[in-house]
Amino acid sequence: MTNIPNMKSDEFRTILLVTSEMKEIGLDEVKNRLKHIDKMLESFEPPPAGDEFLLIVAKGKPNTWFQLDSDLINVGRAESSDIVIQSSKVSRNHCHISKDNNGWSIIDDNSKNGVFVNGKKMKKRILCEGDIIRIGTIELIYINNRKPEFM
Amino acid sequence: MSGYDIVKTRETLIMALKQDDEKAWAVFYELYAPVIINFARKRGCPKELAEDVLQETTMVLMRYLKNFQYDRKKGRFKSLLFKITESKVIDAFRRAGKISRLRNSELFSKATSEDHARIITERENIWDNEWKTMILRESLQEAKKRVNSRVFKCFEEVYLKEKSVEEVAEQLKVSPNLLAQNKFRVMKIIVDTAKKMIHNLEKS
Repeated sequence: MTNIPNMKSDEFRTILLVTSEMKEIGLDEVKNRLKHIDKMLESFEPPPAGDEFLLIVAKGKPNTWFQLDSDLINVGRAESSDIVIQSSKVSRNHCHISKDNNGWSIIDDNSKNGVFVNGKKMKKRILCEGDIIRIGTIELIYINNRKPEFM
Repeated sequence: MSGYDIVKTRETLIMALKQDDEKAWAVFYELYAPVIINFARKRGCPKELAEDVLQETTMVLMRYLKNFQYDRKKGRFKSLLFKITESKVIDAFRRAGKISRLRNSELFSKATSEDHARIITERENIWDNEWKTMILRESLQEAKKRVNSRVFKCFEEVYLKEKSVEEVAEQLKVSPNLLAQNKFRVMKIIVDTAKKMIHNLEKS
């Protein structure tokens, strides 16, 4: 059991400092993002069997699950893309998602309008669960479907 | 409504989170997000990675808590949250290239059981300190809400800023006796709040 805190001035000062440090963290951004994801997941069927997915959201509504089952996924307006997005805001070869030892990454292939992850324009980002990728008007939400062993 | 307001009325916060209670999630962000962020920072994550750790930890809770059969004998929410957060810190390091899968497994295969136990204890100590900080921070906020600003100022100046009683009494135009009473009053609220929070949080 946690001991009753020993009330020392130093400890309190540290706490006050920690509180002010927290203001630098984008807590509200994380909170709003996860609330949005929760809403999307609640209103859509669970992912089929498999480990890692993108939930494709079009016009604010979840549309389909895309399973990340190959090491390279091309995204763009070109018909040959793995994920085809028909929009004038999307380049023919807009970006790609690839897997290496560090996990999945999204890489912008010099697209005209860019790739946004969690609201920030990025050239490359190693994905973590709950990342929201925006390409044109489409959102891709990265979901890791592997259940943690301690749950 | 503060985190303390909700925690004091909840026998089990985890039950409220399971029911997707919006207030419970607000408590989660107010109380636990700083614990997760500060733990990740103290484990060596820069700000961006610490945010990733918070995002991934919350995603796990959000997705699996509803169907999670909570067995209190296996451990409390505090321990469960520690395990999830620690695993997400390791994932974040791995993604950032700070540790590779191979190097991590080599590290553990070469470590003795004493080394392994020491590493785990060190990490648990960081977590415990952050947990305690969360309780103190919330207790301090609760005290600030319950007394008027002048009473709190007495506590702040003498206790937190360590100014002399004479100096503060002169500055706030109060007697040293009243100053001491005010300081004690705030302190008592903090201690009582901390005790209640520990009791309620550790039941869950």
